[in-house]
Amino acid sequence: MNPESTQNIEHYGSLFSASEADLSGGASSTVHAVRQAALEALRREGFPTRHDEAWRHTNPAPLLAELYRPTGKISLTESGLSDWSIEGLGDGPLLVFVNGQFDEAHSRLTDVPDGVQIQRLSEAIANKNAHVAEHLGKIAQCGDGGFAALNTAFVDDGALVSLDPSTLWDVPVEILYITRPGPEPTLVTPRTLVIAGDGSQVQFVESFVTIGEGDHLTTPVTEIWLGVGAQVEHTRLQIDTDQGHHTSSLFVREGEDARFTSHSIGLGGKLVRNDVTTFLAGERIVSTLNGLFLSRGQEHVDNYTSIEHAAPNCESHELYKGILADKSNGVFCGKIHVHQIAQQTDAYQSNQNLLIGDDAGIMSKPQLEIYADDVKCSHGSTTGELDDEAIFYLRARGIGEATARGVLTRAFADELVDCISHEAIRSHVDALVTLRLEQVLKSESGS
Amino acid sequence: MLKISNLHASVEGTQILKGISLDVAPGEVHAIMGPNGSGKSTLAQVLAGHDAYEVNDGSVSFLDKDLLDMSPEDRAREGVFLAFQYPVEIPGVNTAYFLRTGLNEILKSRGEEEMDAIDFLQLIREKLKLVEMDESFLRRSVNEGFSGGEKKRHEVLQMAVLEPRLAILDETDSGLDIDALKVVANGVNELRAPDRSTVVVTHYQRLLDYIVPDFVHVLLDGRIVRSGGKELALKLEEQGYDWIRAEVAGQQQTVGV
Repeated sequence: MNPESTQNIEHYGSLFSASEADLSGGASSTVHAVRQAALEALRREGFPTRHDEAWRHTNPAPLLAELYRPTGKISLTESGLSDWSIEGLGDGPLLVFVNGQFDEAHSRLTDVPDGVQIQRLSEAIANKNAHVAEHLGKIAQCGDGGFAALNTAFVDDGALVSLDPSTLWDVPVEILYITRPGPEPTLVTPRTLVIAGDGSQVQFVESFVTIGEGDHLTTPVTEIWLGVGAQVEHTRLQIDTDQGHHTSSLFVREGEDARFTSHSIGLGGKLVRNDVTTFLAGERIVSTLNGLFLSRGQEHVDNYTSIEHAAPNCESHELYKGILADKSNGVFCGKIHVHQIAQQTDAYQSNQNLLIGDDAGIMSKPQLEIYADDVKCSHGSTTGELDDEAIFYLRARGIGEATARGVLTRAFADELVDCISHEAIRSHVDALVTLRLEQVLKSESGS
Repeated sequence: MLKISNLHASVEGTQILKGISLDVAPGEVHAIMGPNGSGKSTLAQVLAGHDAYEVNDGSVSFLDKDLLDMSPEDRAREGVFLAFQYPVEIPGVNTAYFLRTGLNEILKSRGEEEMDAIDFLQLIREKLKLVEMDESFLRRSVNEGFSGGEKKRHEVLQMAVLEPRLAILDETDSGLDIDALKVVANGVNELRAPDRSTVVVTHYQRLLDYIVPDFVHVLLDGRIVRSGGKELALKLEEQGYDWIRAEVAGQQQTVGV
């Protein structure tokens, strides 16, 4: 193990010893055993290094350069939050967390229909909620150590969304995780657990937003369980700063006939790593992973996705697009693992990247591991600049060059924004992408 | 309106236009004909401002302004319109949005009021009739999945919306069946006006049966080697370009002696 890793593990280990009695449910809860196991795995396996295959194109060293610690409770003013919650979601539930702590004043815990439970994870843990005992930490892969294990060791608060079998709910659940860096390098470990029972239907949004300056490490873990025939649409928005380190892990397990759609929208951060792992455990699943990221300056964004086809007759569709300006760098790694049993798999993957300027770069890496012989798997990757002929065509119609570039870049991004089915969520994402795009295009023309 | 003098242009170091001079007065229709590779499309692209072409010599003035000094968008705003030989497909950009943005940029540059969505819809409905296009085109991405004929009609539609002072039609007849050709020609003719000029670049005489030119110029190896009335186009249709080639070669020999 390298020295940074050892130093970090000692640091997080002593943090754990100092705070474990205060974590929700206390040291005697079943969840505490999950925390301890994660910490053990972290001690055993350490943090990743760039020698790990999964981190070959993203050097994790900056994530370990500081010893981060939680801030405790911080309250925010209304003005700091209003931009980030979604307008037009009506009276649906909104859970706000600031540095991992529940912010009751800004949350909206509304009545929900029978069969739907929306609650704080800390309360669920304290109340020995059966879903928590059965599901928390069960699909998050902590055995290899790393940031998912770090999050799990400090599981305290977050959101629990569960739907009883056959419960259909069309009001999206909104979860807003704010990182507000303190004076010291700040650690934030948000946690979401979603359990969609057989035949249930739900959509939810997780927004990860940093407000204010300061070095920080936000390492969220989200676990989503889909029962037989369950339908879940997940939108993930991530907006970080020039001092923002963000390493997220999304773990999904899908039962037969499930429909899962994920939209991952990444709008900035100094070093961002988003891992997505979805496990197709039953037949006839249709699983869709969409991703869009816009980077500028010196940012580094890594999207590392992994689709496990572990049952026959499933479909997966994956489309990730990157828009990279200035000296920013991106990575797309798309693993599709078709198990031997997974005959008749239909998997499609596409990664498209738009480089704005000469200094931006992307590493695009499809990784198909196919052990079944009767499958349809295809993948494609394109990286390029805007089409000069299209720019000329627009200019020849009186549209100025900057506007023409903006229109074409926007069109590139819109393909993914348009995939979000709920109108209010889509317009929220649309507005944030527009803002971000202005920054990205402006910083380019200014450089 | 348009005055081209001794225009030389090259692409990637290859000289394509070798001294073109042409005057187009308001209201006139000029046809530029010539075999493949003679430089017709290069001339059209240079006038529209494509930066793949380098102007090596000569000048172009448009309404007494230096056209070559202007960006492509400024040329469009001044009233130059190129109907593309190969209209570009632009996935994700809605056709209505594209047309309205172009029109509004042009209106804005003239200090006129921009058009809102409702007024624009009224205008575009009129113009769609002119080229016999369905309103559903407006909701599609620009040229994406359009047939050859639809693309060309879309070019004429854009021309009808933007109402240029000078329209340059680059091989607008290529790939069209006779019915589509009539629709396109009819659209162009409807837009003819005393203060609007048209330059029709074409390989074949066929289009000129419908868009009747005042002048016909033959472009050969980057130069205009013959100019005449519409009967010149008919002669080219009957006899091809070889006789002109032979005559030009003869003249050059004579000059050489």
